[in-house]
Amino acid sequence: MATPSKLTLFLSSWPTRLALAMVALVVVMAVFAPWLSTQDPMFLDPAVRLKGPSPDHLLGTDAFGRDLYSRIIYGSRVSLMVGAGVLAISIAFGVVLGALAGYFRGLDSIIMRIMDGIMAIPAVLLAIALVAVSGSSLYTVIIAIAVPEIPRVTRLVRSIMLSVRGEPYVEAAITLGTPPAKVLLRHMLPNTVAPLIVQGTYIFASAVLIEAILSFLGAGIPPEVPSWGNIIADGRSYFQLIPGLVLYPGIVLSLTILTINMIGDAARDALDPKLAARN
Amino acid sequence: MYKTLKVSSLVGSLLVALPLTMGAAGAARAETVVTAVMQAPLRSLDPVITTAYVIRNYGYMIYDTLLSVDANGEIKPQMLEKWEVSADGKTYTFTLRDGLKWHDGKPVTADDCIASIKRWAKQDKMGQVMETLTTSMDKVNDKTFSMTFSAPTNIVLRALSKPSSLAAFIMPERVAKTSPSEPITESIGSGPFKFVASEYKPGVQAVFVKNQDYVPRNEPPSGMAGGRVVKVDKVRWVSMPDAMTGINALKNKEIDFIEQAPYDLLPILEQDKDIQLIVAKSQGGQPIMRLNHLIPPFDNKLIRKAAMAAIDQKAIMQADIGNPKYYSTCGALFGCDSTYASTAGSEDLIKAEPEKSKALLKEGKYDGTPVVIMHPTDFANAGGSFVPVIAQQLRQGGFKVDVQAMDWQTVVTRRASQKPVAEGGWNIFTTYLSLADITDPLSNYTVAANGKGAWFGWPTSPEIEKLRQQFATSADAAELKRLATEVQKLAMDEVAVVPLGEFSVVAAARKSLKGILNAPVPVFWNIEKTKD
Amino acid sequence: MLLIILKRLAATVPVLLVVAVVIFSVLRLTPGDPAAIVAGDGATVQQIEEIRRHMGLDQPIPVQFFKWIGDVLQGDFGTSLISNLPVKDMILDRMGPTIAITLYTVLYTVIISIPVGIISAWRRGKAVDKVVTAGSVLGFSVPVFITAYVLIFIFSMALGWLPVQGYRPLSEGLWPHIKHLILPVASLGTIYIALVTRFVRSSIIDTLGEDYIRTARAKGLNERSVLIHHALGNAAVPILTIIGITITMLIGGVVVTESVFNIPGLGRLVVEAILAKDFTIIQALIVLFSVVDIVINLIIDILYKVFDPRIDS
Repeated sequence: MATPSKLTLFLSSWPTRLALAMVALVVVMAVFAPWLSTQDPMFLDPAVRLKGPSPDHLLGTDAFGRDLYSRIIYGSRVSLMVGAGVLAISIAFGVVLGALAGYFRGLDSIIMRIMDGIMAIPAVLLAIALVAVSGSSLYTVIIAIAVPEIPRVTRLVRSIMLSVRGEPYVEAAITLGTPPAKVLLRHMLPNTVAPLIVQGTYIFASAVLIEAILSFLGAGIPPEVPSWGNIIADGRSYFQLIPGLVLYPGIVLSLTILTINMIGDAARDALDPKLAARN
Repeated sequence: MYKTLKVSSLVGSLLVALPLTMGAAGAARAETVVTAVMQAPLRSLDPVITTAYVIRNYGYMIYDTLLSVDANGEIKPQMLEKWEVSADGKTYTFTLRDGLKWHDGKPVTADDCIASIKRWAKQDKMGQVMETLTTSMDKVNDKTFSMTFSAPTNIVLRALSKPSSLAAFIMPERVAKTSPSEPITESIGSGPFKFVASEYKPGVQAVFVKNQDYVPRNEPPSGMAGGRVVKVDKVRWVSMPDAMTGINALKNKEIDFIEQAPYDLLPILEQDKDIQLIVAKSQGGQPIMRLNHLIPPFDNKLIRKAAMAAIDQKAIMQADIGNPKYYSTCGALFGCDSTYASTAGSEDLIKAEPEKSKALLKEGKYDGTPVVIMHPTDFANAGGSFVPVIAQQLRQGGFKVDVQAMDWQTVVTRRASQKPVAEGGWNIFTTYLSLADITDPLSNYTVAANGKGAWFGWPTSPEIEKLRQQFATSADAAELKRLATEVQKLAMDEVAVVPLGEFSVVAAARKSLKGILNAPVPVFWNIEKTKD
Repeated sequence: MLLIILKRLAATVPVLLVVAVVIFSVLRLTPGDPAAIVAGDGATVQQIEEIRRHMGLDQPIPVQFFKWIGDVLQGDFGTSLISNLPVKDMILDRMGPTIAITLYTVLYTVIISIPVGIISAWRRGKAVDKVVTAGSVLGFSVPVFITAYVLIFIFSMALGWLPVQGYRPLSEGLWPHIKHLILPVASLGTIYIALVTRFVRSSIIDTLGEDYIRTARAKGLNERSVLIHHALGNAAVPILTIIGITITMLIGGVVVTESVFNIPGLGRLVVEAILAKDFTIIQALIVLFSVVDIVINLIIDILYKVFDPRIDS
């Protein structure tokens, strides 16, 4: 019997399909935000602040009279950009550093010591400190969240490098005089793709979560920019008056993180046969 | 006999036990503690080095003032027994009351007063004016000292009695000798409360106990004047991470008092029959917008006037306060209901006039450089809740605006910079002044127009300065009113400061607290706590 | 054994150095000026310069760095720039609540997640397992402040059973202490129970698939015995790891929890210090947290050796 392809395996369970649909929905929200929202998410109208749902404002307004529904729609952009940005930076730096550490013995020690140092600092605190230092903007927040993630990717890539280094085909390539870059790119790094896909989804989800925490603590994206974390932080003072201000973005945020994590789980199950056997 | 012995010994032991238990019960009377959430957490202890209101409030707990102002606006003695003015009006002699002691037991002396006034005068804007007029300060004896001025003026009375920042708190001489730019860390005062330094957690809690040795005046309290009688054992100031938590804590009896209850959440409290809402009109404030006169584009008067025209007070106050019961729009720099209220020159200010703003920008040749406005996200009343509204109004008026979010501490740092924006400077910042601070052209430091020596924003107008000097030396009521109105007109024309309206503060307390005074500063004397 | 411990200890020194350098340089790059904040509103440029000199901020950065290291090694953590109190005292003052929350959360997590993880692994694929798996993904996906607000809404506001906020030290009574910590620990615990349960489950499943387990089964030992004596013992190492990792991850969660529930602990202190740019506190606390992290990892490494000498981490 032919073994099912990894993709089929991945899509086999209905929770996974549901999760994918949700993530797709969020992406649609982000891409088509200008058409899906009903108002300018930045427009302040203090005269109608803190009102409940109405035809003009489907989910009501916040403390500045801004439309909650439109801000939630646009909030998806921030979350996806933060997730993607952190993913890109941490993978890029992590792969390079991990490959260097795994391939060149001399660099291994020093790179890993620095990574250990960064990992010893609690991620949230390091992120807040970096944002406080470099000012609050989408880019600084992305970098601030990415920096603590880099060591984890580095370790992962490095350990794969170390385990693969002893493989016969790698030894052969080196003996044949293949330049290190080619050895890395053609023989060693491809082994990292599957684990990085899995790790990547978790990083994405974690980034969305940490952005929300930073905004909640007041150390994240500038407050006018609609991010789900910001909307919740603004709404926390009015929680009992208008619970929707916290609950609506809270539900969307939680569902997004949840479904991305679910996709990560499904990817891990599909890509690693040993893990798949567990389920 | 055996039985009798038993009975009598029983009775005997009862008789002995009874007074013991009663004594114990008496000693076990629970101490009354008032737990309060003030407008900001207390983080530092020098009320002379900073104008921050929470630190001023702390000052009133443990320090005392020589003079204070009563509910009718009259200056009354507080620590003083009396004062005398010489025939030529240039020398004032002050005599302290009996029984004034520091918290460490030593008596309060004239030396303490002189040193304290000197330190305070270096920092306080009105004190600085007073200093320029002072020719000498002399000790007469341990309880008496005199101050001589170059011209007849009662500025010393007005300056030493003014309730708000900076209040002229009297400190021990050795503490007052600290340089005015170095914060003091000691908390020894002569006021009605003592500070419990061992329980102080900056940013979290501050604890005060009744000063048993304090000798209050005999008069009933009125405004800031009269007897400061403490009727509770302990006051604890605690901080809350956000407004909602504070409200819940109040409803749950976890705290007793919130100095400034958030307006939006008042409906929740209005329905609670155990909670009283107190509209402290005299503790209200005036939010202001301050432009940087030193650097472009606001070094150009026409562009400043454009900004003023673009402003719509109502929308700003709606965002800041929300409930129209607690705010009003008005362009009077010295307070809408105060003695020197005048709205001269403020016509443009109340409603947004985007077209007029655009026209003025064109006339002033505005080149489109974005104006940087600082947004203190952690301090709602200072701009956290309304800077975005201002930004939108300015944009509608033709300005390009760059809103920079930061915490209040950073605003306080950055606003001191006179450099161009590219080097860390700023164009606009906002804050609010308490009504007690803005009462006249001297105490209202936003109208000081001595250029680089003025308050942040640095407006320049020799005419205004001349008027303020005259205000300092005049004593005629009608003359003072005329001078104040002139200052209002000129300040508005120069756009020295843009008042954004006026609001009253609402305090929320459990009904078990009685005797909360209506004073320009929240005070904890006279408050009693009954059973809750 | 002792040699191994000493070797590992020595290896931590460069890591600590990296931490110190990173934090110090990150802070000194900050544009805010603590001297101006302390000087107050009416200060002149001259007064601010005076204060800066007084605080030692006018020295070149390497000089400041080495002075700070020297001080720390002597137990002097400096003075808070904003409130002028010794940092050491402030830390000691606010340590209690954070230790309480962390400890109780770890206990709560371990007590629940180990049995649940084992049962889930044992009944792999069945309904119980499905529920646990779904629950754990949910558990670590919902941000802790959302969980917190929902719990506050239900248990404090609607039912009135538990207080909304605040902290009572043990000295004020056992029940008040516990009462105020129930909701914070429950909110924080949700995430870590989810994570640790997952990990316990997969560790047990892994070990159950090993050869020696099959041997034990072949020998006729009953399932329960197999589970407890063999699988659990060998899963102990990875489980210890995850507990160690979660303790260090707890800091991030503690920070938010202390903020929502108004608990005066180190988490909130460090966030406030970062936002207020109070360098001395930030330096001291981040180094403290990192040291705790390193020490915990060290202990785990040592326990590895105790449980399984084969392992060379």
